[in-house]
Amino acid sequence: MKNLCTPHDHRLSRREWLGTSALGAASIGAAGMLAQPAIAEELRKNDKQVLFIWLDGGISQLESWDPKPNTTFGGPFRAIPTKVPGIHISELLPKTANHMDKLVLVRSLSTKDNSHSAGVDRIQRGDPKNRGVTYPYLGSAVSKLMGPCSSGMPPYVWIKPMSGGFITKDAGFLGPKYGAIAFGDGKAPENLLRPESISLEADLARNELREKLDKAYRLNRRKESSEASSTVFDMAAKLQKRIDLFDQSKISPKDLERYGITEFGRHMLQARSMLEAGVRFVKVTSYGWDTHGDNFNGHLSLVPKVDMAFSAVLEDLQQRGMFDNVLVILMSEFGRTPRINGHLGRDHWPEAWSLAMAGCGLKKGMISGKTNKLGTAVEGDAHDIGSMFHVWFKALGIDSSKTEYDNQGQPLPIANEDCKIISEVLA
Amino acid sequence: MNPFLLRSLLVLTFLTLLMRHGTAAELSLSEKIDALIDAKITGKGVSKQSDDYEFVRRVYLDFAGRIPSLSEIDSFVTSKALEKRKLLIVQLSNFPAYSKQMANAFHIHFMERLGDNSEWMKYLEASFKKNKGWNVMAKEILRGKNSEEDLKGANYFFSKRLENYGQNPVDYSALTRDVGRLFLGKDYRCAECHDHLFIDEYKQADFKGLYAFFQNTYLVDAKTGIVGEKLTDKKMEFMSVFKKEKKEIAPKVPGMAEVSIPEFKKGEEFLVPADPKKKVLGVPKFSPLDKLSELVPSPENTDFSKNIVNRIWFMMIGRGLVHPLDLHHAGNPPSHPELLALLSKEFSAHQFDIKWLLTELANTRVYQRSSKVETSKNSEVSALFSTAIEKRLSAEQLLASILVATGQQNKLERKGSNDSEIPAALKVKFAKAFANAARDPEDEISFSLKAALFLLNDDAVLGLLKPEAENTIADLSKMKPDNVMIEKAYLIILARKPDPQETADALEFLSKPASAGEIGVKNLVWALLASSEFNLNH
Amino acid sequence: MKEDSKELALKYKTKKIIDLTCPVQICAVRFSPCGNVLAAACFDGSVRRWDCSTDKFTELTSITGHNGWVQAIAFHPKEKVLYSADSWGKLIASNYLVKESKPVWKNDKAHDGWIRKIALSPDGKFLATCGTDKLVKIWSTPDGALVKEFKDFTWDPLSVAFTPDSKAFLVGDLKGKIAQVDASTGKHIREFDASAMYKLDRLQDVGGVRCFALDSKGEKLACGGINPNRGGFVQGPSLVLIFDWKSGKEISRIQSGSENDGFVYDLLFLTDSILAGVSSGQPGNGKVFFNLIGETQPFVSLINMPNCHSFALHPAGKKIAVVSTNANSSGNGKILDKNKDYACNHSPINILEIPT
Repeated sequence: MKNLCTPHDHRLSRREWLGTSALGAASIGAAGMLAQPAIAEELRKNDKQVLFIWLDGGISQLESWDPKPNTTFGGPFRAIPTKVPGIHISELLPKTANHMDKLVLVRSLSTKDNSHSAGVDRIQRGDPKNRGVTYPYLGSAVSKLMGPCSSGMPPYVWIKPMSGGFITKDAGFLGPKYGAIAFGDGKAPENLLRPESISLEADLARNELREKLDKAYRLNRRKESSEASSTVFDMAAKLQKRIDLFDQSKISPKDLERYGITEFGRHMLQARSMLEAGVRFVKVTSYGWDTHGDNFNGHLSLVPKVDMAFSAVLEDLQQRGMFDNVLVILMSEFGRTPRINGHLGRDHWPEAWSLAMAGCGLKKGMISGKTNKLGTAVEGDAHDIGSMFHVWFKALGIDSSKTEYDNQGQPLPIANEDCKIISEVLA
Repeated sequence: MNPFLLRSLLVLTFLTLLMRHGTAAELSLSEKIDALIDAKITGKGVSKQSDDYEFVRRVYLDFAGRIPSLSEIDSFVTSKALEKRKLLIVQLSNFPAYSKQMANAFHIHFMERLGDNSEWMKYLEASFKKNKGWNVMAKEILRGKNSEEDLKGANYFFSKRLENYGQNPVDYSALTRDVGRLFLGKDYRCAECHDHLFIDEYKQADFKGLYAFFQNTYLVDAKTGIVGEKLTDKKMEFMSVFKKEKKEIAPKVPGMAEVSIPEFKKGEEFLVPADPKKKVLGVPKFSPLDKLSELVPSPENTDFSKNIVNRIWFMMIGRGLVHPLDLHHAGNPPSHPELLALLSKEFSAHQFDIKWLLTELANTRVYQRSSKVETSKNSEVSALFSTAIEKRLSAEQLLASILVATGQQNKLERKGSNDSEIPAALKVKFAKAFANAARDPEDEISFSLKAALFLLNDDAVLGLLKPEAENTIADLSKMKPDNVMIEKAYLIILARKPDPQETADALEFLSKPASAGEIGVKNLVWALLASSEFNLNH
Repeated sequence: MKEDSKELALKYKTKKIIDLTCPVQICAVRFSPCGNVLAAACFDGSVRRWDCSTDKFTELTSITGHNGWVQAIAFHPKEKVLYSADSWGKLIASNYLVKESKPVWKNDKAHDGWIRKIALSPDGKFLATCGTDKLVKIWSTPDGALVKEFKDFTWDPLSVAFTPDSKAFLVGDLKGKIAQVDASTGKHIREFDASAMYKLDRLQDVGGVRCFALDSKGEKLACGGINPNRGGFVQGPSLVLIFDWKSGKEISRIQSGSENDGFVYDLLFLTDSILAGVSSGQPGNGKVFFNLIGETQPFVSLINMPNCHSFALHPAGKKIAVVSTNANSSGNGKILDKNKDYACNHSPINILEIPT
């Protein structure tokens, strides 16, 4: 029996339970204004960005960041030394090992949900306390808290295999304006291309007129109603100017080779371009990591492809002077069981898993937390995903202890207030 | 506001009206509504009444689902008839377009883009044409088992929600929630597993009692959409996740008594017995859905009448007296409690006559207020309705309006104005660009990047801008670019005359090299169509 | 079913003699040519041994010294030597009759990484190994000296076997290519097409040629794997392709009925006309099957031993060892056993007898 009462389904779109009684913000237009406008302004001025790489299905921490070679559950692979003495990772990540001096590995993640359907949502929404609202995904949150970069490009972009579109559900109570624009297999959104029948000059002229009309309309009307419209037209214009971002022929073959001639490689390369173009939050998703069967051959095939593209993007961000401005996160919704099943696979394991991150606001070349000898439990402080949200916001210059959402009068913390920040990873 | 002052104002208003009409009993509902609204508005900053242009556009959109044509605007604005607004309202409410517009509005409101069905639309249109009372419609919809030709479309509300796909089970919880929200104005979602954590009045028993009506329903046949019911012969057990006490409940509409489940001797429970060989599940004598359809729209159920008048108020005025529309509870009181009570009582007393209520609302000063704010004041709270609230246009209204604005409507009118002449592909495209996702109520203005790109570059839109015999582009292209031409463009598209600055801007635009000839006219029309003003019901 | 299928089913109706317990999972089992020793390559870096001269199957001391998983083992056709290879790239030759584990020779870095298979040439002179380093290496059996190394970066070799004349070897790879390579020159003689055993699903290369078997006359080549539907948790019916050696063409295929069946992990010719194998797919699924060459479905399917990863025939031809996996081997989260421990799974070795 399908049950509404799971935390996953405790969702309200753009509403707050306590209703909007007589006094309150206008019902038209954007919900979730920031509680303190001054902070909002500051944040909008800072051009920090995020590259969020999502390996959907659950990458095995034992075949990546926290290998336990030659132990009961260690599997067939070896561990290799990295550029940082004392830190070893799986042999499947040799190129990334050379960039260990840039990375922070968190090995002490322990979260609550071992299912994909609920788990993916909970992790990407920061698993906040249940207040009867659907919290935004990290991308929507950053899009709201920091707005677009000064480039004016859409703030939250998602590069993924298969279909694209406008993914409003990510935004939760913030409203569809903060959803993601998904580029299916890196392709431009529908209708991005200006048809040949309209010249550039004609396009500029007609939009200029449209803007004049809107400005006049706004003069003696509520501004929320038409503001929404001009924002999206602006964004459309900005995106149209950068149509080259979707042009496969513009990709350098050398870059393609470095990132790997795979779907993931292409997408990561496009992600780099999006960051260069000034997109605030770029999410890249790779599907198919749920290796309940043939886990070792699976990871042998998958991990090196990530290794290649991930190390390439770290290199490129460094080389372009963007490294300290971009927060890079590489993760899944959980890890995989130490126990190896009859199909030579590993199953879901939220109990003790890892993620990798680098860049903006973080230390360099360190490991935070550890698991026991066999990898069956976290040793010492375990961290839920809420802690990571505190860390990430802080790294981007947002103090999660002082900043709140204002959902039409209902103040909401931006990260789970029961989770502590992990100070040791912050620069 | 000082309660003494408030009361004084109220009394004054009533007295004034009394003097005008002689006796209190002769006050129309419209007048009563205005009195109650005005009573809460303090100080300056009340917007003026809409001018004729504003009014004619708004009322056509609300009653006919489209903007008025040039001739329609002209005949209204130039009319010297007394009470011409009242007359227009009556006229429009008897247009064929009225039943189509209401069908669309109720379809979006009650199906929330879950799907489309031609029988359902036929049912809605026929019901609005006949001006069926809402209590009768609700009964037909909630029965779910209509087999009569003219009623079977009503089954769609349930049948769509009883579909299941592949291995996904039927979502009875979502169905329960939808009935609570859409017919009773209460979202019981977070009361499924326990009493609501924040809203004291929403109890788990409310959710479960409603759920009990649906637990044994199933879709007999996707084609006819008829809903079947398995045997319900005992109460349903449930338990809170917090308090492990076993409880049981019979089907129960929140706020009303539990339905008593009749006992039958074994073997006598069915009207039509089950036939396992023919895979027929049979028809039990006791039908919870029949009971639901009687109880929900019954006069004692004030939730029912409050819900619908609040929704109709929202459709006309742009914001519910209770907002959000599905959260009636003590902690979210109506902005005008006496008004809500009045509307609920009067609607019920008038046999839930929708056309009557819409007409009364349209004749109020609050409905006819302008959406232009007085520049001196700051944005006043919309709940007081001192300025008209801009309303969202549905994808369907937008499409119909664009067709009028680009002169395609003429083509349709010549063909007999049959709405089904609008190519399905065009309808689908507009819905894709402008409609919300399923179960996301279209109760807020939200203009997406998808919609912007659609207007900018989609073939479907640009195709409508091709000059063809006697359409807008063709007509305007024949004219010299001057004040007359600009005024015509504004009237056709924005349903008003431009001010001098606007005329100057438009002429300047047309004089640009990029706007030479036909392209300029096309793009001028495009800019008007893509403007916020066109895309809103202001 | 055909009449002879029914007869065959009766003829090959196996009986369980004994279950050997092993506390860890096993990659491969093999019987020694003399028939007295059964060896199992294990997940914990050990090669376990049993004395199978009697039906008691008493366990002997294990051969140690490996790292990671011992992935493959093979016995010398004549000498009393057992070769074992592990997933860290180490190759050990041991005298398998000696109680203590003392290598005849060993090579810590035989390959860089996971050695997938070991094959002995029928004349006993050479040993072939293949690994994830994309190399096939030929070693001299008495001393482990590297004789030749073959590199082909288009392949990811998963299995290797010598041809009956010892002059060439077969390499089966991840993408379903089987190459016949001249052992002295490294020249590709020809290729067999097993691409049905491969799929690129999203980002993952799924499948591969997991095992070979050649009949005694060298007339038929069988290979085993999966017909992959999808990666991730890997779904697909198990697949055996049979090629005519002379022409190199596929002459028949055996595809199982369910996409839960998974990979065929081990194959051998019971007789020149009967192919036997084991498969393992979704947890709880997997079978032992006997198939008449030419038929598309097996005449014996044993499904009571879940997730079978290896299979060996006793040289006398009457006993079979099947490596399966314990029941309830899978599950999300931290599932504890009766003693509240988080224990690893294990592979029982089922010893079956073929009736006379």
